[in-house]
Amino acid sequence: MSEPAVFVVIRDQQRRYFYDRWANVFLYRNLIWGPDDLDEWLETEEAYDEWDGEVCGVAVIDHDRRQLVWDGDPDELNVPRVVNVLHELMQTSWRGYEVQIAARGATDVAIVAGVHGGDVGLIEEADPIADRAETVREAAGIYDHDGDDDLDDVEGDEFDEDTPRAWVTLINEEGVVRHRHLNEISQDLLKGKKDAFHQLIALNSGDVPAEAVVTEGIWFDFGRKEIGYWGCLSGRSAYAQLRRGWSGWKVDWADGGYSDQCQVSGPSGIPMSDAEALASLTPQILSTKRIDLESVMGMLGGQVKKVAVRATGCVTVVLCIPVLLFGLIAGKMQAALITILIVVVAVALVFKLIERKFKRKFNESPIGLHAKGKDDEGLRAPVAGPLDPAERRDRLERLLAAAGMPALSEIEKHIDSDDAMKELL
Amino acid sequence: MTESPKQTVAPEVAVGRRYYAEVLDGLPFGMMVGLLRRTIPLPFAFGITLSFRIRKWLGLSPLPAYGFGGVGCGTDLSREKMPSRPMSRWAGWFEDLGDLGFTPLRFCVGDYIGAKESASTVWIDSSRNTFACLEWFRMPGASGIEERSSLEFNSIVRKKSRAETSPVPVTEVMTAMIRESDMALQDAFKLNYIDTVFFPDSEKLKSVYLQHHSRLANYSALVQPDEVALQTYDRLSQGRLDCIIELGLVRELTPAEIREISKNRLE
Repeated sequence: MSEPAVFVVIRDQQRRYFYDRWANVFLYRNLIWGPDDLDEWLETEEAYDEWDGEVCGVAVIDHDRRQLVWDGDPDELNVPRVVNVLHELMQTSWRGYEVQIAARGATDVAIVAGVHGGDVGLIEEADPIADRAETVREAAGIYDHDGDDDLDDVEGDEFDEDTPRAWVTLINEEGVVRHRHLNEISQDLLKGKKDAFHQLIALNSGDVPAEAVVTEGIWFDFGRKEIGYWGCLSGRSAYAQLRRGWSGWKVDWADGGYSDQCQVSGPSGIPMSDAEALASLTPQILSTKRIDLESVMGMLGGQVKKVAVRATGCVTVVLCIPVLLFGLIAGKMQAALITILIVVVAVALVFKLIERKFKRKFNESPIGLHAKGKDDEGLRAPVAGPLDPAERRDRLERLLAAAGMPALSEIEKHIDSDDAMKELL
Repeated sequence: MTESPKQTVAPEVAVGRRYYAEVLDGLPFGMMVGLLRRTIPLPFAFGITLSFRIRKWLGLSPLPAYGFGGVGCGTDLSREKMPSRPMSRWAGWFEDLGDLGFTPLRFCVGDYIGAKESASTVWIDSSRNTFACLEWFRMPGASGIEERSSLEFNSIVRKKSRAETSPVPVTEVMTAMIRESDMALQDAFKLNYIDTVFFPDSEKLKSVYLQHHSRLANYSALVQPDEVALQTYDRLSQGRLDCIIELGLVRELTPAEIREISKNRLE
């Protein structure tokens, strides 16, 4: 089990391939420091002459054409606003280079790397929208079984405040605005199938979602026969399909994204600031920890331990309350306090004993042994860029300032303190 | 409609006006324990409630984080000038209300001091016997700043019938949609002259409206002429405020408290 990434370095028309078993996790944290830091990090291990084996993430660094193209699939890059700020930061650190996130994934990476995707295990998608839900109802989480396609049945996915979603706005000839939320924009909408609108209208009404949860947006203005679309770079394929599917309509890519859709549909929404967008990336960028099986297991173990500590704390309080009451009523507070102290020490000892036994058993299990395996870890540091936390912070601070972005102190106000990811980083 | 730019109430503006605050330790003991135990274990919930009671007996009740102005103290705005956040959150409900034939009567930003901001809007249906009031607020909560929206359908009815649970004649019927986790708290604010039913906000607005109308079948709902509809609505709101003050769940803040609370900020 691993999350490998390959770095294809092209210099003087020579290609070299560097592998890292875990670099695909937050791939951007290795790229963000610029070409020199990346080179220095990669060169600590031998390069390969050939693309060898399947990988999850790819970065092609073409020094001859001064170009960086990369493809990874982290969840935090589903939100266009977040992608935009990361792109701006990388444009600053890779000054003089053209930086691109591969819009068509493997296909683009293979072209830039000068390899045939099939030869190196990259699966090039014949139809780039084939992965999307076929119908609006499917995209809303409603699956019709046995020919049951009653449009009144609209018990689809519930989107809570933090759930990422596609935002669809319909504006009819009278100017009445309707918002709908889908998991993604479906193929039937992109292909111009009119039945898709009946399905959309039948869905529950939605609010104007916050920019922080919108992965892509589209609006249909029936009075003007206009469609606006925006999304992440991979949305370019969807946009191309829209233009083919909606002949007779004016189909535009909305450069202003969220704010454009708000402008056509009414209120100015709940936009995401640069600081908020950067807050979803900063902990990962600052982390110098290798994210591998061992660290994931450690995070899960930490969460279990936290629950166990809380439960034990509650039990201890429950045990001590009667003792304390007895001490108060009987006027024997000293004895009560000593008893409580003994109980607390005893509980702590028992807890530690159980924890040790549990850890030992886990470490001896096949999963534990696998997670601990460090034989093939190599010489390379866990991440590119400065490894000293203070220096890494300082470098990021300078990069943010150079890119005209908010300072770290401002960004950190927006970092979710309850994020489970914190344990991993 | 009077219009003014949206702004936070400055302390010097706030002093001299009347402001009110919910009295947390005015809640029944069992209810407060029940509310707290949703987030913390029962022994702690009991202990915290007890500490609130002791502080109340000692005259050391905690200072509220915010205070609100009386009925009619908010700032009426045109729809276009309303803050974007509540208008965005309400967009789905606006669509449903429009489909049901409701029309807006008023958009308003609440008059608050301290760590809370709010907005509301009042609509009326085509039969002119049901108001829809949408409220939105942001304030500090257990996990940072929390945001809520709620909706109430309100109708004034003749004193013909008594609700089974009410000892006094019912003069209003209310059907409301609120966050499920807040439903227990709402029980504390139920008034005996209002026949009230709460639904979680995950319910569809159209079905809640149908339920409100089916409940009205037990009463004779009064039609509100356009020219007095808003005054009538404000009269209802004033009646409710007076009643919860009388029950001890809300109290007027002193000038010193207003000055102190005005220093709090939401962000």
